[in-house]
Amino acid sequence: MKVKTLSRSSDVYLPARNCEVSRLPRNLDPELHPFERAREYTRALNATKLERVFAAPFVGQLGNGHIDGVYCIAKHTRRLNSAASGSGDGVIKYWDLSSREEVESFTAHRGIVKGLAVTLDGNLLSCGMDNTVKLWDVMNTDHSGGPSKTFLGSSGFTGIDHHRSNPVFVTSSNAVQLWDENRSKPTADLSWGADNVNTVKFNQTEQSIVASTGSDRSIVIHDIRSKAPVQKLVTLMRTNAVCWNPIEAFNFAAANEDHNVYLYDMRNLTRSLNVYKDHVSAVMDVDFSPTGQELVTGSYDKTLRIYRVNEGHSRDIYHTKRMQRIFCVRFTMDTKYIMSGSDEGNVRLWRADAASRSNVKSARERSKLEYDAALKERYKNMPEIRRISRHRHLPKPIKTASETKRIELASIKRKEDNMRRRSKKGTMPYAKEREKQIIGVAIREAENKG
Amino acid sequence: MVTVNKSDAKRPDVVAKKKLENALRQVEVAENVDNSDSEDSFLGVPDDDVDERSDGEDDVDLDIVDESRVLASGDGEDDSDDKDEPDDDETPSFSGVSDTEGSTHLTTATFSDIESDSVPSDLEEEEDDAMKSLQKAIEKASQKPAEDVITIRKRRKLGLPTHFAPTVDDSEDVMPAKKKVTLDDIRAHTSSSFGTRSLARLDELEKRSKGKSEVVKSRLGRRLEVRVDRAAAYEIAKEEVGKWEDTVKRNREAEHLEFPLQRSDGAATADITGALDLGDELDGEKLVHGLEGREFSLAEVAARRNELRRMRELMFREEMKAKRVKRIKSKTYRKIHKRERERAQEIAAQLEGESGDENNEGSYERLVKRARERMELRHKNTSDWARDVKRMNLHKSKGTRDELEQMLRRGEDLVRKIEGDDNEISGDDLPSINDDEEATDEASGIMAMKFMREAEERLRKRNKESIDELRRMEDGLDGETEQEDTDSAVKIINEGRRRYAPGAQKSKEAAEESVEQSNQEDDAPVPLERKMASIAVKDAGPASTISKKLMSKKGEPRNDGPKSSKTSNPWMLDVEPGSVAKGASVLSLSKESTRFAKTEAKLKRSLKKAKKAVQAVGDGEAEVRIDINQILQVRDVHGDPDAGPNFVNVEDSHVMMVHKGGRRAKPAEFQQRELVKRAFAGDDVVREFNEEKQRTVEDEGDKEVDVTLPGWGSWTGKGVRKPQKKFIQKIEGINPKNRQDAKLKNVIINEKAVKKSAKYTAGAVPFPYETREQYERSLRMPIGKQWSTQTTVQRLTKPKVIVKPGVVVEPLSAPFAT
Repeated sequence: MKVKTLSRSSDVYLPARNCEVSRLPRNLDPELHPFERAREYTRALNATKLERVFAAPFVGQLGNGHIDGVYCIAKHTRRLNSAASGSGDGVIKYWDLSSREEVESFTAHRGIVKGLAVTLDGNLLSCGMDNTVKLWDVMNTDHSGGPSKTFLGSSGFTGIDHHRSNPVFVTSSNAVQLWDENRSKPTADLSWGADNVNTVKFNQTEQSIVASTGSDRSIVIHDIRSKAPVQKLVTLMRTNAVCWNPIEAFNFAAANEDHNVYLYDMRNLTRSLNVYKDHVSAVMDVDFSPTGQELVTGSYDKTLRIYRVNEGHSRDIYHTKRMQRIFCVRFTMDTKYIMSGSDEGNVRLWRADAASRSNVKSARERSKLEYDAALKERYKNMPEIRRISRHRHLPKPIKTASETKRIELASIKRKEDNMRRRSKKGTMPYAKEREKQIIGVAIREAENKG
Repeated sequence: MVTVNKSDAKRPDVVAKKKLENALRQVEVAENVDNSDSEDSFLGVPDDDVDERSDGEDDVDLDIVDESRVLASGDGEDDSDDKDEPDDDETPSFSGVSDTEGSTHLTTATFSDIESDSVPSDLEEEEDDAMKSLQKAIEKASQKPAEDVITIRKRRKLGLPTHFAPTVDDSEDVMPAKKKVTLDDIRAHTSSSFGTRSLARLDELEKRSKGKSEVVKSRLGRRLEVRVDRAAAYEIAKEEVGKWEDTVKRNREAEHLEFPLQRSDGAATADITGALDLGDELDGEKLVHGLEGREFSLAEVAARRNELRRMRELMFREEMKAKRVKRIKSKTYRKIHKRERERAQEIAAQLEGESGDENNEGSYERLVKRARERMELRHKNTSDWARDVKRMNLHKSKGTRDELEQMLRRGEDLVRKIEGDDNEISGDDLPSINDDEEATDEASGIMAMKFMREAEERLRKRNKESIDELRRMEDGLDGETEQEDTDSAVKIINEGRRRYAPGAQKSKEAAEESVEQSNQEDDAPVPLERKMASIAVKDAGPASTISKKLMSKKGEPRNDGPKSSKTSNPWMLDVEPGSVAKGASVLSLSKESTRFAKTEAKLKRSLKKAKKAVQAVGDGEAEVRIDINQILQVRDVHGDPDAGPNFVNVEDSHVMMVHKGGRRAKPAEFQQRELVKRAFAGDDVVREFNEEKQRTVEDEGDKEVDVTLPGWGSWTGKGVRKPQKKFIQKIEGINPKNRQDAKLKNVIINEKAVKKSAKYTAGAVPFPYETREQYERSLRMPIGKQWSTQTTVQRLTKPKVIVKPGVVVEPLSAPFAT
C-alpha cells in the first residue's frame, strides 16, 4: 500500500537567485479575502492621507540667490544638473542643481537681464535692455575677458530663445529678429506689428515655428522658413509668456495677465483648447513638463501652481512665506523638479510631485507606491478622499483674494444673467469661457479658404 | 542718414547744373537724398511691415553702387534705364527692398545694405535679381567707362574714398562684379564728357520723381499682397504642424507613456523610423538597389529580411529537435514513433494514391477493419485498466468486479450491435403510422442514433396527431366514418409511401376504386362555380382563413344546400360533390344518430366542415383550433350558460370531450386559479402590508422614551420632596404627514438617510463616466494582490506616465509612426 505524504518542492518557495525576493505562496480564494472594496477604500484613504503627510514640495534655494530679483531662468537642454538665472542687476549665475551651488557668476549686462537661452554646444546666450545679446562660454569659467561674442541690437531686448538643432536664435525687442550665431546682424525680421514684443519662444518639436507675445496684447506665430509672421491673435489682456507643448507640436500655453493660462492650437486660434484657472493675479510665466502632461505657472500672486494638461484647475499650489512675485518658472528636463525665480532674488527648487522622493527604491516599495497611486486614482471621487487630497493650506492674502475673486465673478455673472433675463431673447448670448478672451485673429479660416 | 522732404529732391539737380565740376559729388548726395527719401516714404506709412535699418556702413556700400550707377547713366542710354526699372519692380518683394522705389539705384543700394547685414541664403533669389541688375549696369559701364577713371582720379584728388574695393565683411556676392569691371577695362574707354552725363542724370531723376507716385499707388496692393502671403504661409505652417496629428493622437490614446518616447539620440532614430515608415509619405518610396538592378522599397527589403530570419529560425529549431530525438534511447519511444511514422506514411500513400481508386478503396477497407477491431477490443479484458485489475487482484472486491463485468457486457452488446448492423440490410426506414412502435423496438445501426430517433419521434408524434384528428373527426362527424375512409384513400393516392402501412393491400384496392371514381368525377361535368372556388382557395394563403371562416359561417344556415356545404376544402371538393362521397356522409349520419341527437349532429357537421376547411387551407397541421364562435354556439346548444366556470359538471366535461380541439384550456385555467386560491387561503397580503407601513410610520415618527432611572429619587426621610414621577425624553422623528409615501398607497419609502453609506458614495457621476453603472463597474474589480494574480496587479497598477529616472526627456524630434 502506498502512503501519500505532503511534499513540497523547495523550488516553489525559494528564489532562484540570491537577489530575488522569496516568493510567498498566496491563496486567491475569495472566501479568505472578504470586503475587498471596503479594504481597498481604506487603503486609498490612508494613501491619500500619507501623501499629504509626506508632501514637502520645497527642496531648497540655489546658493544664496541673486542680489536683485530673478527675471529669467534657462535650463540646460541636454544636462540635467545645470541651469542659469539672470537678475535685475545684470548678473547671470550658473548653477549646479545637484549640489544646489553656484558654479559661476558674472555681470553680463548693464541693467536687467531679460532673457537667457542655451546654445547647441551648451553655451549661454543672454540678452538685456542694454541693446546687446551676449554669448557666454560657460565651460570656460574665466569671464574677465567678457563674452565670447556680442550681438548689437537697435533697442533693448526683452526675450531670447535658441533653435533646437540649428545655430540660430530669435530675439524680441521692438521687433522679432532671427539671428545666426555666426553673423553679427539679424538675418531676418519676423515681426508683425511695430509694437513692443515681450517674449519669444521656439517650438521645440516643429522647430521652425516661433511664437511671440506683444505688448499690443497679441500672440504672433512666425515661421522661420518663410521668414515671416504667419498668424496673429489678439486677446483681451496681455500675454506674458508662451510655452510650446514638447510632445504635441501644435499646442502651446499662453500665460495671460487675466490670471488664466490658455492652451491654444496654433492651427485654430479662434478658440482655446483649455483654460487653466485658479491664480488670483497675473500669470507671469508658464512651462510645460517635458512629458507634456503637466504645466507649471508662476504668478504675480507669489504662488506657483501645477496643472494637469487636461484639467482646468491646479492640482497643486506651492508657496513660501518669503517668496515674492514669481517671474519665471521652469521644469527640469527630467520632469522631477521645478525651478522658480522671484522678485526677492532667490532661485528655488521644488519637487514636481510634492510627496515623491527621488531615492532608489526597492521593487517592493515601488510596487506599493504604484498600488497606492492606482487606488488613489480609483477612489479619488469619494468625498472624503477628495477632500483630503485637495486640501491645501493657503497664505491668508491668497485665500482672501480667491474668495473675493469668486464673489466678484459670481456677481458679474449674476448681473449678466439679470441683463440677459430682461433683454430680448437671443440678444445676449452666453460667451464661451474658452473664447471669451479672444478679440480676433488676423487670418481667418474663411479668408484662408477664399 | 539725412532725411529730406520730397520737394527737396530736385535741389541737387540745380546744384549740378551750376557746377559741373562737382557734379559727381552732388549726384552722390542726390542719391543719398533719394535713398533717404524713399525710406521716408516707407516710414511715412504706418504699416506693420518690416523696418529697414541703415547704419553708417550702408553709406559706404551705397557709394559703390552709386559709382556704378553713375557710370551706367553716363552714356545717356535712357532706354536701357527704362528697361531696367520695370524689371526691378517685378522682382519679388523682400521686406525692405520692395518697399523702396523701383529704380535700379535703390534696389541695388538696399541690396548692398542688406548684404552688409549678411543676408542668409533664403534671399538669394532676390539677391540674384538685384545682382543681375547691378551686373547689367556694370557691364554697360564697362563698355564705355572712360569717364570712370577720371572720376576716380578726381575723387582721389578730392580725398574721397573710391570705394571700389569692398570691405572684407561684404560678401563674395559682390565679387563677380569686381571681376568683370577692372580698372584696365575702364581705362580703355575715355570719351564722354561730364555734361552729357549730368544731363542724363537729370532726366533720370525726373523720371524717378514721376515713378514715385506709381510706387505709392502700388503700396496698397503690397499690403494686400503681404496679407495673402501670410495666409499662404500660415496654411503651409499648419500643414507642416498637422503632420504630428497622428503622433499626438496616439500619445493621447496610449494607455501608458514611457518617457523618453524616442531614444536620446532622437534625431537619428527618428530619421531611421521616418525613412522606414514615412518614406512613402514624404518623398515617394525610398528605394534600395538590388544586385540585379531591381529596385526594392525599404519596406520590401525589411519584409524579406524578416521572412528569411524566420525561416532560419525554424530550420534551426528543427535541427535542434532532431538532435534531441536522436539521443533518446527508450524502446517504447521508438516503438510509438515507429507506429506514428507508419501512420504518416500511410496517410502520405493515401494522399498520393487518392487519384487511383484501388488504393483508396483498400485504405478505406483497412480503416473500417481497424475501427471494427477497436470497437471489439475496447471492452475486452485487454485494456490497461483491466489488466491492472487482474494483476493486482483487485477483482476480488465486488465493486471492481461489477465494473469489469459491466464493461464486458457492454463489449458483447457492442459486438452484437455491429453484427446486427451488418446483418440488417437497410430497407425502407420510414415507419408508417401503425408500425412505429415496432420500429422503435427494432431500432439499430443508424436508426439507433439520437438524431434519427428524434426524427422518428417527431414523425410519430405528427402521425399520432393526425390520427387523433381523424378520430376526433370521426367522433364529431356523426356519420362520416365513410368519408374518412375516402380521405385515407385520397391520401393513399397522393402519397405512395403509405402503401407500406399494414392493411395496405386493402387500402390499395380501395384507392384504386376511388381513383376510378374520381376519374368518373373528372369525366362528369363539374360546375364552373365550384372550380372557381377551388382555384381561389388554392391561391389564397393562410391570411384568407378568416374570410373563409366568415364564408363558412354565412353558409351555415343553408348548409343543407350542396353549394354552401362544399365551401373551401380542396379535398372535400374532390370527394364530396360526387355521388359516392355524399352517399357516404348520409350513411355515416345514420350510423351516428344512435349516439347524438340528429339536430345537434347536423350543426356540428357544418362546424366541422368549416373547421376542416380552415385546417386544409392552413399549414395542414393542428394549428389554430380555437374558435370563439364555436364555443358560444355549443353553449347555446347545451343551454347551460349559468353553469359557472369553476364548476365542472358531467355535461360540461362531455362537451369538452366533444370539442377537444380548442376548449380544454379554459376550465383548466379556472381550476388552477381555484387551486392557487385554496393554497394561499390564509394569506392576506394587503392587510399585512398596511400593517407594516403603519409600523414603519410609527417607528420613524416622533417617539417618547422613558428615561427614568429606577430608584432615582425614591428617598425616604424627613423633608424629602415627592419625587418627579417620570423623565420622558421626546425624540423627534418624521412627521407622518410629511412622509414621501404619505399619499402613495402601495409603497413604503425609507426616510432614513443612511449616514454611513454617504461617506462611500460619490456625489455625482464623475467626469469620464457617463452613467452610474459605468462608474460602479470601474470600481468593482479590486486591484490588490490579494484578489488577483501578480501579472494582473502589475497591469492594473502600471502608471500612465512612466519617466525613466535620471534621463533628459527631450521633446519629440520627428513624428513617429510605430
